[in-house]
Amino acid sequence: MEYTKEQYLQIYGWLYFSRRYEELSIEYMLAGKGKVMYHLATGEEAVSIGIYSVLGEDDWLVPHFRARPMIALRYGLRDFAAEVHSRSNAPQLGLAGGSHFMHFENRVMIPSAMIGQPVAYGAGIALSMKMDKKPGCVVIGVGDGGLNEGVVFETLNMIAAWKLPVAFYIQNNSLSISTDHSAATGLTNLADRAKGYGLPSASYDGNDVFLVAEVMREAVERARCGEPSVTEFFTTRWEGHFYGDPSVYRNPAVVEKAKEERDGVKNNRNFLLGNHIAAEKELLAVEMEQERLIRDSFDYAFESPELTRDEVRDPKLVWALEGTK
Amino acid sequence: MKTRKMAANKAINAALREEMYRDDNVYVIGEDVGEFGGIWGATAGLLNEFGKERVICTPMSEMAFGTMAVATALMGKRPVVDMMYANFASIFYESIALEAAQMRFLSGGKKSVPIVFRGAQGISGGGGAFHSQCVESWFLGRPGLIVMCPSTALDAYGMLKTAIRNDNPVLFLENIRLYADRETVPPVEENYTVPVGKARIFREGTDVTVIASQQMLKLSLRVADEMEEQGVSTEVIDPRTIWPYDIDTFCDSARKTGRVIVVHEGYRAGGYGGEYSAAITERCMKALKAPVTRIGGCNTVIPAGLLDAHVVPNEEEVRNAIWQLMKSQ
Repeated sequence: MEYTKEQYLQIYGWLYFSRRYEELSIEYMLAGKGKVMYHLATGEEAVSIGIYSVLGEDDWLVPHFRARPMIALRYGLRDFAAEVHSRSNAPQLGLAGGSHFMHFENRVMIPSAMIGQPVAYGAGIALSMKMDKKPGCVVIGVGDGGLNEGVVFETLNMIAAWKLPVAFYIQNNSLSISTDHSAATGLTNLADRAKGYGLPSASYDGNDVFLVAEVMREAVERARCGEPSVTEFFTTRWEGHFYGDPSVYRNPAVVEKAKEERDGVKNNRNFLLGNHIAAEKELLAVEMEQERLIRDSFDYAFESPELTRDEVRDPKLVWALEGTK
Repeated sequence: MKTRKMAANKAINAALREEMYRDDNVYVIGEDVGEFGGIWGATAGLLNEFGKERVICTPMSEMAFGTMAVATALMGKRPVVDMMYANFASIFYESIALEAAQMRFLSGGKKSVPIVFRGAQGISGGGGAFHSQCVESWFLGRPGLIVMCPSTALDAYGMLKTAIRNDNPVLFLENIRLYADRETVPPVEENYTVPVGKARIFREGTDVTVIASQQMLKLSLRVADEMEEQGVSTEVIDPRTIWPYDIDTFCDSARKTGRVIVVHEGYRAGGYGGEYSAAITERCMKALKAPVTRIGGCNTVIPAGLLDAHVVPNEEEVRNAIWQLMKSQ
């Protein structure tokens, strides 16, 4: 696909945003703000942003969890920051945090932190869209670890049997917390598993944002017509499973090599400069704007109130007391 | 308007059909719910009337379609998930207790999850170790989840309608040995429903209170009739909604009789009898002449065939418990 200069800069902005979002999360945390568990997505930005760039208004996003910056973009920056940091002015009152979010207007959710269960939610949304003959599709993501959950097998089977409007992707960073996927499956390409369900599938480099976008644009268009598919993207997780994980199970040279050769943000920046699509100072301006947006959302969150003990314990939050319909 | 006398499985079928006509968002999903009509006939005929978009036959994939149905409820549907045997709630547990029940809270109290998981529980003379469990107590105390257990065909009809119309997730546990019981059910125009959380006093008495559900209710009513001839007046209460439970009705009765027995088919240890006993004791210990008695299933594996009757409470156990309590003045 041909991109305009604005589109190129937009995509680079989102990529930079994704990298910087994680860096600033840690910076704020080390400054004593936001003591929550961070499953950093650094190194995997191109998968998220390639997908994010092709979503339409009618489409739902039920992504792999290691994609918080993309989720923030879809959910709304200030709202998501407030939700992650348990603030009462957040859409879910800060009760859900960053791991159980759902935004029905903006069509994004990972409502459950039981790995694999969100895949069934995504398929359920697709089922309801099909029942109501609504336009759009559901983009569902899972990691190479989550792909081994039984619920994912069952769900993919039903997605295929019922031709649900689903574009399914696997974000394969080859690590399920600490377990390498070569020790967890007999497959080299996890996308091959799709054949067993009768779904078309393919595997791609997940560090090239344009490739991810091209492949997913097609997958999304097919899904909207009731033709589900599975796409696998290979990528590299730069950090531990969570921030502070000493990663003793891992050869640090793998990460160094990925940072050197397969940095989806840096490569995209170099592409724009090398092809004279944008000048250095234009990219710096994009970066400054993204930095401002992130800091604005974080500062907003940390200035926001939290629910009180009584408010958290309010039975109306748990029970629908208004009677029957 | 004419009343209808029907077996409990037909009453459930009627409730489903009537609710599906009343609200287009109500749909049925589960294994073998289509042409087969469910293994006890509860969904018979629905496929022909409502089509395969509202009577969805699934592969054997409980873990996935349970949560898929939860998602459709968040999207505005009102699914009725057919678990077949309630025993399979072991596989559905995640979808029921963690997904369906927790989503309202996690949404900030903004979304509700109007879903019913229905299944048939209890021994049936051959179900064996994996198809006979009573599962209410697995779910006791879960925030956001209602657990209902009808004991008669009429209650099955009225309570299922309530469960479908309620905005909370409801675990609706029928009883395999209930299905053949026939009872008069009011015509659809009467819009008969049973309120959530309201126990039913089946039989009034002054000496002892027996709280019992489903097969144990029937058994207790027989014992109560027999005890009447011996001069003991027994009040028999069906909790109907097992959780959250009707503590007011339990305590009103306890204050009157001073003697309380809770009987359930599921295991005595860890059963809801323990919870009810504690709650009654906290509220009205001074009125009690003796500690609340719990009677429940034997703490063993449910054997195959007709041997299963040996591991659930029988009339003798209830009778003995009543005599034992009557010694306390």
